[in-house]
Amino acid sequence: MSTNKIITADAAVATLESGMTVGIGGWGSRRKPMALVRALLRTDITDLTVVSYGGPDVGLLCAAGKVRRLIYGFVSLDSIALEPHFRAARQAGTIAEPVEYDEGMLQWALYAGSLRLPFLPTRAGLASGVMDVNPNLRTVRSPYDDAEDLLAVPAIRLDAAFVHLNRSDERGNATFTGPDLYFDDLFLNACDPGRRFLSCERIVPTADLTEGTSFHTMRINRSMVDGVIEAPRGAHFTSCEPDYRAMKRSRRPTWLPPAIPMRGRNFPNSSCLATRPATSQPWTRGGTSSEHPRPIRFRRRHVQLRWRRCRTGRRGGRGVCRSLPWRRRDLCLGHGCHADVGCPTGPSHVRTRPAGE
Amino acid sequence: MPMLGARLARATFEPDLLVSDGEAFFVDGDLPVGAAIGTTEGVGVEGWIPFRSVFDTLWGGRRHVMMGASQMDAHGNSNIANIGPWERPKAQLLGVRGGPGNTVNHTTSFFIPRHTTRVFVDTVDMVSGLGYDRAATLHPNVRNHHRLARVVTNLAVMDFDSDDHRMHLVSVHPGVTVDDVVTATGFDLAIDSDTPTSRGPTDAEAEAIAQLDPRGLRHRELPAQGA
Repeated sequence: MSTNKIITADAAVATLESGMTVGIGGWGSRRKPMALVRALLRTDITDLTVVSYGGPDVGLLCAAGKVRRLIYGFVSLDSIALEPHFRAARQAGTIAEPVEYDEGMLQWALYAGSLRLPFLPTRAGLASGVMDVNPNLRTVRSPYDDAEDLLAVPAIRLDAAFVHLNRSDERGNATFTGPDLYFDDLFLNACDPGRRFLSCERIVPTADLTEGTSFHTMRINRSMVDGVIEAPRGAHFTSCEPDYRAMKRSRRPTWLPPAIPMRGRNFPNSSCLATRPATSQPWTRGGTSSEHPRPIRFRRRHVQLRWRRCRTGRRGGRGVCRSLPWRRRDLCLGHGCHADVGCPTGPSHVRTRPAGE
Repeated sequence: MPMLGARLARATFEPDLLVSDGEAFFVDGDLPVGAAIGTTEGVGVEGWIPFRSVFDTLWGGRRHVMMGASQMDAHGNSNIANIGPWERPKAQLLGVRGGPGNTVNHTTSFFIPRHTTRVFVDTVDMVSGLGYDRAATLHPNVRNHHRLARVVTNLAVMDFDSDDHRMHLVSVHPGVTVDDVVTATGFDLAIDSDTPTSRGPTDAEAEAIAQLDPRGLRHRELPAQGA
């Protein structure tokens, strides 16, 4: 039997160092490795180069001031088109080196990286603003009769890669059971061996990887993975179809730190970010309960709390703010950051009971 | 609105059109907008198109996309990325997304629900989609694939079929005058001596629209004029 690669999210991010290049799988608000991103937010690591089809992962890392260089084609929450933290960071100028690509260029850069090629040619990006704002991009002339000039997208190699899949075995063979793999295989292949981390909803015996699904979904194999993290609801609050959908409220995402309203003249206001160190905020906690054994302290006494038995949870109970409507209380996370449930009065009123209590 | 337009086209004059659900599937049948696949009887899936195949399809030129634009100039250069200088934008929007790749690879049209001088500007702040002037600097292989078909707004329909591929007024919607459009546009449009009025839907089309958008989501995106 080959190696068991199971580790915790905190142990995984502990292998990272400041200044590294990190690729994050998923797409927008879909199947983002949020448990690993949150673990990264809790560290002192900074000065990162982040490569992502951006969603809340990019937003939170920007808000926490961990991003020096950001390579992106977009940063969006899909149904909420604009990612507020990313927006605030760009408008405040706090991302030192933004690198904006066409979405397809980003795929090409990762693909070139995974094939160990210096670049791949494409027409996407030619003569566009992407060339204006990235003066280091070069074109290459076709050596054949057409002599067409094409954009040579430089390869991206990663020092670390994070992806989240539905199922994995303990060695890192994994399946996606939702509609799309996105570019998770490219992120893993473009990464040097050593820090290719895969979190998953469930670790299953190898024979069960394709239970109820087809072998076509076995797109990640163990040669592409160095560490496996079991993180039920580890993509939350992004979607992880078919296990769960994205959790978005029409008015205001609750994972926003309370200091940043979505509307009004305070938003977007970079000073909100500056005065509240993101890593100390409750919204950076979450993922599996083992990741934050410390209960989040609630401050206002008038908010009544009650314990409620977790419907799906296998790892301990949870506190539910009574001001939550019942239908939202049913959105049981079982394992984690209750700030994500959507407490209308904010995450600080909801507390977590540590595992095993 | 563009999704409704594509589904209306398939329900009426273009039954062979492949229409995606915006996620990972081609929709088989007339799916109402806002409804998920599997919720409407008789409407299933006729193909799988994950994001990687999307790029294959569009770089292969087998697509006509209808995009939005926060800014557009007379040559059709469009911007969905940011307002203000790119280095430190006044308003960061989406980023260029697939705009550069779309416009050099296949036909692109635009739907702009608010026709104002803030959208139709002299110079866009970031070129996320190529206009005809920029495409003209590229190799014939690229120029042959570049086509901006239509720009549809709440006031009018425009195209780029003028001598120098400047934006050209095709028709004005009922109740809108050519002067209204000129006032709401920040550059000079190519205008014919006689600009027709956009036609409304036929009875059959109106019926199809009602079936494809039973919840009236189109009115949320584009409130009725005078409402």
